Amino acid sequence: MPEDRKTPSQNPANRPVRRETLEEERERGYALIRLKLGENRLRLVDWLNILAILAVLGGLCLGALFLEKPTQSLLEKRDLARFPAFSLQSLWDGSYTRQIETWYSDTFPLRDSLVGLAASTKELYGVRWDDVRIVTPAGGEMQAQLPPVQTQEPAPASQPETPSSSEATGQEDTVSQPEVQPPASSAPEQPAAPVDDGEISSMQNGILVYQGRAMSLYGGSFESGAWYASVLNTYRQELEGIQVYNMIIPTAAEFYLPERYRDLSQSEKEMIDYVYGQLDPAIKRVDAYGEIQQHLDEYLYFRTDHHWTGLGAYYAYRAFCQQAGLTPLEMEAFETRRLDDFIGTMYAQTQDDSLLENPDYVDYYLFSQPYTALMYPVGSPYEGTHWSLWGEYAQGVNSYSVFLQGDFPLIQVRTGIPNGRKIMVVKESFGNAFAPFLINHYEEVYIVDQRYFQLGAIDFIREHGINELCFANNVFAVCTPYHIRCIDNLRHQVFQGAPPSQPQPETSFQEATEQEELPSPSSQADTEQIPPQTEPVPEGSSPSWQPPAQPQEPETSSRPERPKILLPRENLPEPEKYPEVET
Amino acid sequence: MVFANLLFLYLFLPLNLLLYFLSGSLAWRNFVLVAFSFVFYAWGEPVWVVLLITSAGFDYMNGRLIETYRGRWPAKAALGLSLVMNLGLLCTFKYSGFLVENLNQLLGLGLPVPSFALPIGISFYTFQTLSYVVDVYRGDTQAQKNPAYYLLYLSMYHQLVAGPVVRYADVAREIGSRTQDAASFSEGLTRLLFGLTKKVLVANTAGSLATQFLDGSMAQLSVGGAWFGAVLYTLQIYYDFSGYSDMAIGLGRMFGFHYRENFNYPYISRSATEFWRRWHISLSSFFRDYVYIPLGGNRKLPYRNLLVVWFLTGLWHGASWNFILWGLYWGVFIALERLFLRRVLDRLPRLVGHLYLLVLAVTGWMLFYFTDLTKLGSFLQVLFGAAGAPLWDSRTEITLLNNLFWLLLAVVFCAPVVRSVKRFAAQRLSGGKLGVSLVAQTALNLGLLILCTAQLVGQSYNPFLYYRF
Repeated sequence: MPEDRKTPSQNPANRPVRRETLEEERERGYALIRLKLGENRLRLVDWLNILAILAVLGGLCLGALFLEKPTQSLLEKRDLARFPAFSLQSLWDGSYTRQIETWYSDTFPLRDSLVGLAASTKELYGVRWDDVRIVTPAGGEMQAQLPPVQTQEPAPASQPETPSSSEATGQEDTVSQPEVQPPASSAPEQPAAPVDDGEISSMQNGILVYQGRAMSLYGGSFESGAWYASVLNTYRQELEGIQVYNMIIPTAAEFYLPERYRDLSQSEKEMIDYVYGQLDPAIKRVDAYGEIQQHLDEYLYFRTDHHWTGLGAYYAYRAFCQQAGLTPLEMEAFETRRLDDFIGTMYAQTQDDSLLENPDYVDYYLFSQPYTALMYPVGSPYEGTHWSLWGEYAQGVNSYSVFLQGDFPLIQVRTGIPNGRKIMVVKESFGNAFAPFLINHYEEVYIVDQRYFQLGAIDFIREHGINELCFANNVFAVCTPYHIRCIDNLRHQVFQGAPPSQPQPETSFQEATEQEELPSPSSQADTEQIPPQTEPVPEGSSPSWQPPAQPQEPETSSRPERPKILLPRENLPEPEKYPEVET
Repeated sequence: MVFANLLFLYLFLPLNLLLYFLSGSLAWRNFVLVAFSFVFYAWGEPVWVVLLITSAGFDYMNGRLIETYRGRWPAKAALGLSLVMNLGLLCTFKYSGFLVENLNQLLGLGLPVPSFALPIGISFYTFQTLSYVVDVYRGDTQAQKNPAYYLLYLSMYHQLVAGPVVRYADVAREIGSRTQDAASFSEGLTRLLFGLTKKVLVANTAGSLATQFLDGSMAQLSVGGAWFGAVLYTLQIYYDFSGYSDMAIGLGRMFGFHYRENFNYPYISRSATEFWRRWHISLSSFFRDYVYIPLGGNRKLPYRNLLVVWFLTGLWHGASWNFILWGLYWGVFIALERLFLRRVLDRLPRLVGHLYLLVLAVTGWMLFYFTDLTKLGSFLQVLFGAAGAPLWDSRTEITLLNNLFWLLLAVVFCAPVVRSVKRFAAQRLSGGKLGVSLVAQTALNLGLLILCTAQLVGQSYNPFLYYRF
């Protein structure tokens, strides 16, 4: 026994109340066990304990060092961290070692099973009274650790089987250009740093899982809402003679949160009305909310994904037609097709097993209206490739990308309807389900993703003779500074890559199919819109997550002065208190 | 590096154990320990290793000087130098920004506010090295002759980053000679896993739940939610800190060191005085031995001494007013107890004392949590029902229910359940049954290790709504 401390165990009554008491008690306990067990049994039991634990530690250690490392996580839809490149600088500032830690945990043996075990353990932490659960998605202390800069990776398998040229669309040759349904959160060029939208911030309000349906809980700030409105008003001022529409799309929590849990989520209706109230009177407000509300017994929102369904988008389209003076198509006028077995993003976020019992399906609609479309990938704003508005190959977790095949900077559609109406739709991913309906009414439709479009929108609109402009954003995006900034920067941003080979993009329209050459990575020029990489948040032992720094304003940013806003309500939540979520 | 980390558990520790036990002689083993401690410390910010080594070398010299010139002026000078150097380092790195900011505000000056990165663990190791020099000066311990051994004491990664504050005298003998056997190693391993479980399964969960209530908008917080958040943070900080101490003690034991206990079930206390005898014992005893008693202790101006000690205790926890406030808050209640409250509490039913301490602790942790005093104010208003907030809300209700079993276990294990079970097993069980219970312990260890590993891996789970390939 290594212990030679005085152990007054014979006389516990006289045990002095000294500082040593605790240690003495500890050692006495150990000593007693040793005494009682006897040397042989003691050795046996101790070695059993030692070997069992060291076998796990050593075994997984060896596995981590010598098994082949995976490079991608399909469930998480991201590249796993790789072993960092060494540099004195990164060693010195600690980022090298931090990245090694990330690499080690990202590629740990049996990672998927262990992640699953962790999630199921958490489900056992308590009761699920009334089948309700609030999930703050995974990630403890490491949440703040951002994956290192993405490496160049060809997109994984499941390529579109649609137009043959789509293989060479630049999907797979741009650095981590999303395969199908790219980031709300992560423009591919926006290396790794999760901006304040999307997945990270949705964690703070949490996700409510109720009877097999997962809903992001809403908490948007009115100040952001007013900022969004002021940005749209600027468009309106700069685009004299062009009709501007704004459509704010409500999300599932607004309609499917049971009454007794209403207090979990802020009213989206209130926010929409507030923003509409701040808009220039000349901007037409599309009442998607009212139209959707009338059909709540229909399948308007997915249970396992944060998007709306094609049908939800259809009702929004009807609301749009009202404002645009169009006669909407009836459901019977087009063909409905269906993708089954859709388990969407909310499952990845919550890993809640109850969502698996209730897979979604995606209905999409094919119109008889003939069209030709060109898609302009990131880094190639002047050279498009032929495109289909429906990615019927989409499956599984990516089924929502059946609409437009995902998020791309610009899709230009020509229909041959000779009515002279040309519209630009500026949207995030909710707009993907909505925009295709418009090809039934317009001569040309320009579908712009506010996060990736790289040209100046105002000039673009003028050059192409576009005479209508519709903003379609979900109510989370409306209050997300990242999105607002994107829309704002969009107006006059300058593409800093190669100049157009010909001044008019249209000229490449016919040649698009011949477009075989892959843009080199160097053509991946930044535009103003793309925020510089934000610093990864340093690891701290504090479990509280700090949002990463906002991307800095680009120098040439055209962000207006944020208006001083008079808020019509008392008790407004403090701005920035609520993280906004792009869902 | 931290302990609750896959790289530590599944690479650093196995390698360290392997090299350590492959080394034959104690000198080599000590060398391995120092080398791994440097890697451990340098992991986040390599630059501060230099500071650590300088600090160790400096106070090694001071110790030798004091011993050589005992009773003469060079000894005094060496003590003074050490105090100036160590407190100076601490002030520069930890408090200079805070000090200048407050000076600027107070005097309307515009001095540039220095901002230094805080070297990890500096609060702990400066205290350790200080205690060594003072102990040598007082003649309580002998100066270490071997500088490498002193460096080993100071840089030992078990306690380097987050305590406990190990006194040199407690480990002096074991640095030069220590026995190691399977029993100690096994006990240490069990203790390590026990601490890991506290940290990973309890503290981390409590932390992520607590932020939902403490970091959100105060306008949306209900009274129940505020209390729930505060209780969660109370659990988090105890399990986090005591878990870390458990891991340090366990690691020490695996390598043949016997560190003192640092926590003794603080939440079962019935007074503030008792709480601080059970909470972070190595720190409060440091302040007792090196500040309170030298100031005169109970004999001379005890209330002034209390004030100084608690001001410093608060300040030690961080360079911000809320920490000072938190320290003084405890100081005031300890003073009140000394004046009369203790006697009153002793006459009342035990339950009153428990409740009094729990409310005190939970509220106190909120002073600790909110570095922003305005936020603290509005939170306390909600907490005590002065803000007109609703009593209850569904977020609190759902979160409470969703984590009910976990919460109950976390609360129950704040009481000395583990100690009672251990004591029962050691004292009452016969040899055979004791053996079986230890095998069961191994099974439990394995289960906990796997659960902790899963949670640690789960932290890296970072799904993206969209492709990030």
